[in-house]
Amino acid sequence: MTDARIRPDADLAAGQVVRSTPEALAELRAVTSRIATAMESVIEGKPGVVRTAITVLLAGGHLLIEDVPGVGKTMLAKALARSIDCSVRRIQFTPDLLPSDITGVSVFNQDLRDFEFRPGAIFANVVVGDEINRASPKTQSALLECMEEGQVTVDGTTYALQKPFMVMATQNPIEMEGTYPLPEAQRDRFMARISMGYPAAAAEVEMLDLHGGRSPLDTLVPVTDAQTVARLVMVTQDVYAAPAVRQYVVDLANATRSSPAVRLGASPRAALHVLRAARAHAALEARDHVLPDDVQRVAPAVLGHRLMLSGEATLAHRTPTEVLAEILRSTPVPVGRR
Amino acid sequence: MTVRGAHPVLAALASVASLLGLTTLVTTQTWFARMVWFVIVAVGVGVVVRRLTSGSAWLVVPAQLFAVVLVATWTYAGSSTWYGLPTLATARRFGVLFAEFGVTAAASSAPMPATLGVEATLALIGVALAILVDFLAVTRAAPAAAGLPLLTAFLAAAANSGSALPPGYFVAAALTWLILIGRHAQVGMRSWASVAARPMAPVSGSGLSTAPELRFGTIARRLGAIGLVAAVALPAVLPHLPPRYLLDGLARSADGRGNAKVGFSSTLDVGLSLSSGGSGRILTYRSSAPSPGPLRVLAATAYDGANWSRPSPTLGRSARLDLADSVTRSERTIIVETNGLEPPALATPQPILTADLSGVSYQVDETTSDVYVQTRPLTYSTTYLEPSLTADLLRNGVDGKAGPDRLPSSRAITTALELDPRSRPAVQAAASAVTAGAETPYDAAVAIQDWLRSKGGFSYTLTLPDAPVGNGVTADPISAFLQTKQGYCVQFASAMIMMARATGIPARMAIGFLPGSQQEGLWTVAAGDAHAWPELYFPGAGWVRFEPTPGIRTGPAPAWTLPTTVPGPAPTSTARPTEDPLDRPDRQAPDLDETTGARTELDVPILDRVTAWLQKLPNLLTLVTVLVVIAALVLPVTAAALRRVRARRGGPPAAIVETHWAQFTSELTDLGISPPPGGTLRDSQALYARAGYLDEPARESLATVVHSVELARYGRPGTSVPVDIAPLTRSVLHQVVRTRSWRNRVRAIFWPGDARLWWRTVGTTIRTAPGRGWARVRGR
Repeated sequence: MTDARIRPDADLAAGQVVRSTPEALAELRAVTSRIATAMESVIEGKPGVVRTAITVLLAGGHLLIEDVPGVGKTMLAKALARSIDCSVRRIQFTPDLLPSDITGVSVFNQDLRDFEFRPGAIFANVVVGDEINRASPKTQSALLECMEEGQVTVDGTTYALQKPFMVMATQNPIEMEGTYPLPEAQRDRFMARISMGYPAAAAEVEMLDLHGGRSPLDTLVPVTDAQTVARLVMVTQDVYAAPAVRQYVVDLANATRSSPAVRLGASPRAALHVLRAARAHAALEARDHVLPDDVQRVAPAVLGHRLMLSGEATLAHRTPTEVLAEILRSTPVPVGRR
Repeated sequence: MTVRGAHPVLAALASVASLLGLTTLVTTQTWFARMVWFVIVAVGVGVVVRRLTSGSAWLVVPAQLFAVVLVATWTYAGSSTWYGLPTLATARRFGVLFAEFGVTAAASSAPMPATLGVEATLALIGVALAILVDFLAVTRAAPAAAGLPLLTAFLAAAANSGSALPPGYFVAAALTWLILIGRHAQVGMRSWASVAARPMAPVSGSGLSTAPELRFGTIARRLGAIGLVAAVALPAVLPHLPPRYLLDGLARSADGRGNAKVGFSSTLDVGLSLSSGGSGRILTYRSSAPSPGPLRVLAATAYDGANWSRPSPTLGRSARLDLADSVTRSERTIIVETNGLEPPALATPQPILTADLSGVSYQVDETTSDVYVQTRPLTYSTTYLEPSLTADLLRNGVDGKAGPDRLPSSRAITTALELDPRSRPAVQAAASAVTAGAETPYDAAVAIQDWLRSKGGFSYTLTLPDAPVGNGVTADPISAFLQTKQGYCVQFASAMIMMARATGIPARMAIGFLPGSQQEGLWTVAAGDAHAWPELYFPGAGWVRFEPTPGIRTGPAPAWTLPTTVPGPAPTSTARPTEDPLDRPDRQAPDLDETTGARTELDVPILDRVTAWLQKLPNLLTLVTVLVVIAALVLPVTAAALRRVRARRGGPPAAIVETHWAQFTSELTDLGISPPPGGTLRDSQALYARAGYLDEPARESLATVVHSVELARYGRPGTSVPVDIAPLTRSVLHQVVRTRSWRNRVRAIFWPGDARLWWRTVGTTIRTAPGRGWARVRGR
């Protein structure tokens, strides 16, 4: 976890078939509950947020944490990264950050008389992108390409990123001065967006007590390693989604597109993300098949930041969460095979 | 003992106390002891059932009814049982007993003889009341509502006894009811946690008066006592509220003030018998006459403005006969085979010659020839005269002379000419208008009869209209009748008597029975055949019957009152209001058909047809009821059949699970729990658990069911799905049903959604079948 291990062509589980057997699911459950316990020792009283973060981790997606300053966005990202024994890089996004700082750059090595690739900050299992909206769009898009492709191409050479690979970006909605807010199209690449919210009073008091001396991150020891997480991600991908569930996801996406309150609905990629997140959610409950309930649970976090409300809905002070809840209420659940 | 309701023993006591008043209606009281025994059984069963099945109080009433039926069967129908269990014969036996009660109640005034039927019926009514009170006060925890049946029982006694009930009966009933309510309130207060803690040490002095629950009790007790005393005392003290209004029953004013109803100082209450439906059998007899006349019980001469009363009789062995020797006559005999009339009255056609009362001694009023008996003869026969009166004979006088100057001067005739002072103006005005142009007393009498029967616009009704008020004075009954033109035989007869007297014809009131209905020579007189008619005195002919009551009830008027000259006996003198007199071949002598004036009253057949149609209404009602019952059963039967068919249907496990689930959700929807449209299985599960108030085992069953359905729908293909979820859904449903309201339960039984859906599908299939068939033909 100290420095990045650069293995451009190393594919952790190449050719390996991992099934979501009950044993695998039990292991997944055990590991994730250890991660959750570790994270909750740092992030007080936010089990829902922790759970979403783990869900996104298992689903192989990226997480956007959006909230006001000082509620523990970075702490959450760090806590998740630290609880896994893997490489972690943190990038503080600033307006003068360059794309090559992220992806890496080819430098001429005098000794070898050749160009040598110096990997950027992206070459890590967990990348914490702080204040992502402070970087210029050019830099942002470099990061986003990596997120989508899972690989980096510099000077014609393609370098595969490590598995698991997860970007946790934080964003501050209040401070708009000198920021480049993520366009909707780019936000779409994040599997889920969560808001921390203020802690409950009791949790805040305890937080003052615990965090008074030193950061609890210092005492956090990893509870699992990258290989295990990568295997668990593959276990998650094997979770079965019945045709009815897939139909339900598509129905929901269609409902967001046809809802009069929504200007821009969920994209097909959003549907894909919903299903993946639902698989992770099911796996977290040690189930080898997805239920519509899983879809409903993950939908707000996965779809919430992708919906652009129509003018009327905005004027009526409706939030995407409300609109989404209404769509969930009104979309019938397919019964499935008879 | 249930905590939330009143004490069952108190409820039973209240029932028994309110039924005490009924003892005044029956001569002997063995029925009361039996009823108390039944009540003890019912209450005991109630207590046991309540204790055994805590929570499901709906079993209590059926169990009580079953126990009472069993005990009553052993008591009253022991021979008809099958190893102690009631059979069809038992039901028939009870039917006979109930019918006997009906006959006795219709035929006798209070106190009625305690026949077995009376005893059984009263005891069963009493215990039914006790069960109802027990249900209201204990099971439903509403002792105040139980006051209604208790009051009904008390009023039934008060309204039917001839005299005022002693206040003790009211006090006993009211006191037990108040104790019942008080006990319930006490239990309710104790269940409040803050009040339940009674002081450990006895509170005395000022502490006593401040303890809240004690103060509450004191106030309540005082209020109850004050209310009870006031209920008894106030009506007696206040001048405007007659005490008998509370204690003597309602609607019994016979003083001519309220309803214009004429009462009788006799054992036969004509109005009551008529309005009580009149199915009770009083007499059966065979007669030697081709069409017998009415059977008279008594003749009354004196009228006091409201009541007819007979003069004190001059009893002897035989009566004086006023019939001139020149009048042809025939002797007829009537043999009464069953007699339900209470002594001292005896019903027979008059004037009688001899009577054989099967050993019972009798006397005859020399003036009226009424028969008095000491005890009731079970069978008897009398011989009476049937004079061959004709219109000519009566008009011209027996010996060619007519007129009031030929009236004998006797006390009976003088009394029979007295007019009622209150109704005199109205009667005289009507009489002079109606009899204008009548040359003889007979013509006058016929004119009066015609006027009352048809021409005057009178209508026959058993419910009297309110007496009109003129100059602040309520009209007397006869004036009121002449004004409202509505009444029954008593009013018609009274009016004709008074008008005849005003014209100078002596007249008296005869009370008895119409001949009744005949079947194979046996005539049956029911209570509803009670009748009153006037008898007018014609010198030489004696007391002659007239019939002013319209034909709808009495059939055609007697032959001698009709303008045609027909010799022979009276034409049909009766027709049950339900039967068309012209359609009864057994009734008429053949020669009467064309000659009597039966058809002069054109309205009779039409009216009779209407009433005959109305009479068929019960059949219609039965038919409608049967149809409604069948209609109500269609959906439940369909639902049950669908359930059975679906349960047997095989197929892949997923399909079986889906079938069970569809059945389950459909039944829950019928019970009023329908899942939201966008809800998942787990949302439904949560809703069912919450709305059905499921306990832990039922929640687990539900979770298992939902898990099976989830596996069937969304599980990885090849996963084994537990199929046998029907018992689990049954158990969950069973628990949900108990928490739903009555309306939901009834709806679930009689309006099941899947059965409706099935019928709708069937309907659509049938409706579109021709179209599809046509499409197929065209497609080919």
